[in-house]
Amino acid sequence: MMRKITVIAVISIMLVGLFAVLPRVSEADESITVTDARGEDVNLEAPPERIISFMPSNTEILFHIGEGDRVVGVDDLSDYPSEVNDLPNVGDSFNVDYEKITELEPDVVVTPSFNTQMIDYLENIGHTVVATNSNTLEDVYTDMRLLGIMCGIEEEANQMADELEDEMNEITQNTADLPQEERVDVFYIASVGPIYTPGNHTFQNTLIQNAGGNNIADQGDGWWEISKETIVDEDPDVIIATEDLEGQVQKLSEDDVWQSISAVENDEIYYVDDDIFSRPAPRVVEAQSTLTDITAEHLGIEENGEENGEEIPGFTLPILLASVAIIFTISIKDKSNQKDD
Amino acid sequence: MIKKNTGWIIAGLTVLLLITAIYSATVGTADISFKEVVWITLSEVPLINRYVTAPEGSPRTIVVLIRLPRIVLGIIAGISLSVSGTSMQGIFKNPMASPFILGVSAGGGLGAAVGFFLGVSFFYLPLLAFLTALGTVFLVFALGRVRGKTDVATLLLAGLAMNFLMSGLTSYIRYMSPPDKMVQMQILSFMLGNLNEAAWNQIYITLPIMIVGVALVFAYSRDLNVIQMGEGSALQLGVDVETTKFVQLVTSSLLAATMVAFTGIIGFVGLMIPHGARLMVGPEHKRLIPTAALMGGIFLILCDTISRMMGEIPVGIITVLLGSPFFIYLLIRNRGDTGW
Repeated sequence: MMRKITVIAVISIMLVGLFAVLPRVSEADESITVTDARGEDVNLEAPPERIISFMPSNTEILFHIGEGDRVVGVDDLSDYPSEVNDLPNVGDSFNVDYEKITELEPDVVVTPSFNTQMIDYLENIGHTVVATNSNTLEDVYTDMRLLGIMCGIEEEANQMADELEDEMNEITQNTADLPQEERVDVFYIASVGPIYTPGNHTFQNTLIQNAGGNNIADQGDGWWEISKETIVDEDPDVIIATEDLEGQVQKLSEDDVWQSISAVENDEIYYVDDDIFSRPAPRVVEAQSTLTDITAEHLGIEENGEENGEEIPGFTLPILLASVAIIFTISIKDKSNQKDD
Repeated sequence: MIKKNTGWIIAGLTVLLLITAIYSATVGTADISFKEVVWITLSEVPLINRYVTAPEGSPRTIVVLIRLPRIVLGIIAGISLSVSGTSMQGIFKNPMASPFILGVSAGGGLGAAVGFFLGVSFFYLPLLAFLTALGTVFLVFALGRVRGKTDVATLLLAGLAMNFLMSGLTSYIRYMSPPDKMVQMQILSFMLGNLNEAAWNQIYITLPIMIVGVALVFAYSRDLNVIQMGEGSALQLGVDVETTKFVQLVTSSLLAATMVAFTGIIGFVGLMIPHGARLMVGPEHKRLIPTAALMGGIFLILCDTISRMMGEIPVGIITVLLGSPFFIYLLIRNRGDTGW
């Protein structure tokens, strides 16, 4: 009798154990849970084979982390890297082509988190959505890690994010922590007539800050329309404008009022690639080094980063030597300032 | 005028509505054949679906969850707005009256703008727009009450004033919203009207409201006819003018507010379709209301189909661009005999 009970007990324990193990065995496949920017836990059976990327920065990140071959469709604004141009377009945030998205049968649609209307609709018709924030510089790293987890390459993506962060820190090591009084006054023009400029809490503001600049528009939050009066009053040393505005800004700067601004007077207007400067994506490295090169001239700091942007006038040897000399003084000064802080 | 043939006109329009709806279901970016669309649609109909095998997967999702709710919501919106417009024009005895004359659109627009600005979820946004739309109409009614009676002229002016006030506030919110976010685009999209994000749960809400609303407007259609002769003679003929006015105005505002909440402000339909219907069947409301309803449904899905063909242009733009020339044509053909 005792033996019988023991046998039954052992068998039942084994069965219970087996059932406890079984689901784990089947779960040992590639199922993935990713917590997205909404704080939503999105479950995927496996790393998605078919991704629709609904934002240029997401597209650039997916290709950067080497998962571009999974992307089967992109939004109309995604144009980098160039192979994206061969992929089907699924509309923009204003006009989402839900039919096309559904026809492409994606395993997951990567969208910006602020477009809740689109996310709700997509989930309603049965799509899996992973949302990213894509706003700040920090979001570049966060999104990269998030999309890495989604694609089942968490470790590699984390490493790439760390590398990118290191690279950015290296570019801005001499400029990021400059005291206010040593900074160059920078004015960023994003649109002309009305003139919209990125204020505090914008991606561009962070880039300017890190490059040792002082964004003259940082008294406003987010994007705002700046008046001529404020611009003249703040008197920026450097104007950064997007390439597509070149003609319009040139026309503007012929104006007498504009002529009184230091940056216009000294011909310190630089035109930059809007895509690189506005997308929280890995190419931010290029934007940051272009900007740091521009400010370096004013700060008397040696140029950092990779190739100069084409916009930057070549340095002559004397200036270069002089600047090297100045760096020493500044870096010493910098250190003492940091101690003060 | 072809008044005697009203029955035939209504039958013809019903058939046309069905044909337009079926055609519309076959149009879209995704490449789905006519046959597939028909089979998928039939497979969703109870009883018939036992005899039908339809393709599964993405074509099914596209037809059942994207195209069909859009078409049905388009029909509901077209009917609601046209009937609401017919009723408003009848009560105000004014060809310029539209469903939005008492501030429904401007009020709903303000609610939506506030919602977009604050980032209210997609679920609560229609509710907010609906409440502000009705709130505005309520204010207009309060202003239009003179000595316990609803004075039509005062009501009209009160509606005008509220329209301006609400639009002004909406413009302010739109101007204040950051350009890098979606808010400005979302508000613009709402102002132009859109059927792009139609879903079945919206139909479960709008369809009963439409049925009850249209039935109520139709039930009072005889009184509406009498009011055309002037409120004085209507009273003499034993029509309860105050009740008729109240029921008609509240019902048509409710119809318009519901549609504004779910589709944004689709212009033109409620203003022009009743005129088109009047040119076809004359001013008698028992004929006018069903004719306007059917024409509204056909017109709106036709416009939405074109909007889809042109890459999702907001349907409100198409209704105006397509409707105005048609209306001018009707006007030229019937100069001096517009049914007023």
